[in-house]
Amino acid sequence: MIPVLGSVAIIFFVLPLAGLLWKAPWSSLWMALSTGEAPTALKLSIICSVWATGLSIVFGVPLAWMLARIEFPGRSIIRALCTLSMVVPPVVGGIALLYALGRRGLVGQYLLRWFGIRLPFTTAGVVVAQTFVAMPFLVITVEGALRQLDQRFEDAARTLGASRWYVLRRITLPSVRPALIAGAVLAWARALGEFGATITFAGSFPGTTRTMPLEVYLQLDTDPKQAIVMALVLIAVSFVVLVSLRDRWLGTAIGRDR
Amino acid sequence: MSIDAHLVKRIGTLQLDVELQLADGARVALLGPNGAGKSTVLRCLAGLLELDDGRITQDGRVLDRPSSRVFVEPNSRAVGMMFQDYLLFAHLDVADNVAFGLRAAGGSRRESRRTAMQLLADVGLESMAASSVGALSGGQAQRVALVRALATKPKLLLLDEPLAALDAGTRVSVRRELRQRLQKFEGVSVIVTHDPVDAFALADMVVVLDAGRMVQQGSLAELAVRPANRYVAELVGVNLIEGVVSVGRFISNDGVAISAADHDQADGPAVVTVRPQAISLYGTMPTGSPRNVWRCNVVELDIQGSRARVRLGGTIQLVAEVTTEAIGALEVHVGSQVWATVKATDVELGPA
Repeated sequence: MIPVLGSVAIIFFVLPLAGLLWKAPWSSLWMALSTGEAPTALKLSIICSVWATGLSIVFGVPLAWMLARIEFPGRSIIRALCTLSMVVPPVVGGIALLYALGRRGLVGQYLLRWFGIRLPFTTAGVVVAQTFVAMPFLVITVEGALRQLDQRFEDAARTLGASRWYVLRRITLPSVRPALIAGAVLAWARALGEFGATITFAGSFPGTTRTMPLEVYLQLDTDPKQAIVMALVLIAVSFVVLVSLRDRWLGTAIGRDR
Repeated sequence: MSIDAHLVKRIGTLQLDVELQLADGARVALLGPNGAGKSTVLRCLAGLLELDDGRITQDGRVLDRPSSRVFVEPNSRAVGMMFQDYLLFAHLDVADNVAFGLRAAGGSRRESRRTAMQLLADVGLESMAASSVGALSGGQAQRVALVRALATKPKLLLLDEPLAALDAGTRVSVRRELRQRLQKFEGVSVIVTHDPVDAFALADMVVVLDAGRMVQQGSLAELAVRPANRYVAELVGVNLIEGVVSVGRFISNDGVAISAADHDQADGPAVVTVRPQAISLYGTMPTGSPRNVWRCNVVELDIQGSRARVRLGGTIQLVAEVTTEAIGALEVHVGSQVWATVKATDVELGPA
């Protein structure tokens, strides 16, 4: 019984992929990729998702450390708030971002008035939207690894003359490196595929905010062949990354946390 | 006094309140049951725990004094610590583990590694320098942990159960090696153990802790002769036999030869310790060839639960601890004759 049900699940995941491959215009593959909006969208997607991953690491690792190591009142509520965007529909996240960072938003109006910074409907806005939905993946992965880490190793390093900062750099972070990599890859993959928050907060302007997923969605009406090719590219990139990451990294890092 | 400390710390149900004055070169064993506060003493001295009250000074420098809000971080103390399970860093190779403290102190990678290689060569582990720590045997890991702790030249060396993670086979040789290293160490060493034989081998003074208080301090011989209470008597209840080593053989003052496993004790006055649990009793002359066999008579029998303490007289004065089943099987009673045996590896030979 179990193998049967399991096999159904496998087919369920493989079948859509087969559908895409079946419909792919193999003869004009390169043409579809190298013409029209595809190269622009792909480039934009890669730039934005890498930025979003970078920001997730810079701010997410300290957040993970705070959640794992510092006892403060309301910690579990803070954790829930910071990971809410994982479960909230991305469109809702996009609307929320608009009312926070939009031109007339809670903070956005001052960003514009004081600093002349406008986030919505800009490439920076895409990065903000992607970071918003992607960072929690990194945070929970790294936090889980930090909780698992035997803090006595850090004690040992301290007695060997290492400052807190040195311990963080040479003991703590290297020890959670697999989780950090896994978390960063998950965050990156999430950013690359981000659709709802991006289109709501940053709109869909070719060259500035129209990333691959948006382009795929739009082309589905006008040029389905190109949509399929771009979809395959997104799948191929994600698949290569998932496979090249050793099972162990993703498996242990995520398994630990759940 | 190199170390002058009054440690007051409350953790959970433990209320630690201990005073320690230790001179340079002192080797002190902290002996006591689990939860007595031994490890807490070490963590306070290392700076991994802040005192609630009291003080720690090292060579006149205040390391921790809550009343004047002084607390020196562990990395700024001249303290080295070796942990029970060694805590070698798995993401660094053996040499980088040893070099860790040197690099933390600002040494260059190349220079620190070279020093680490020399230190490893001193303990015969230079061939393992580039190995992962997982490739080390228990005894090797212990040596690396010790070398790592000593690499930064601490004035105070803290050893938490240094032999507990080793199996009985390597324990004897590692213990002897550790003793030699500690004898060369010029600073103060504090060794946490729950084994009086380790305490005797490694330290020249014993501090017995129970429930966060110091119960007694002195040499093991003093404690054995005049235990402050029954608790100390049982804890330190090892057999201490004084005598001399001549031509490599130990002869007690009563003229009994006792074989120890290969030892490094020079000729001259010496003391042997034997754990009561290491002594086996037989109703007849045992077969096989244990090296230490003595015919004794039972002087006193003290049965507590499943264990029985048997005081033996005759050829040699010993206290043995055996199971009550063994007592029943042997039909032992006060005045009966038994054969007592001890394996040479269970005989610890040290300087008087």
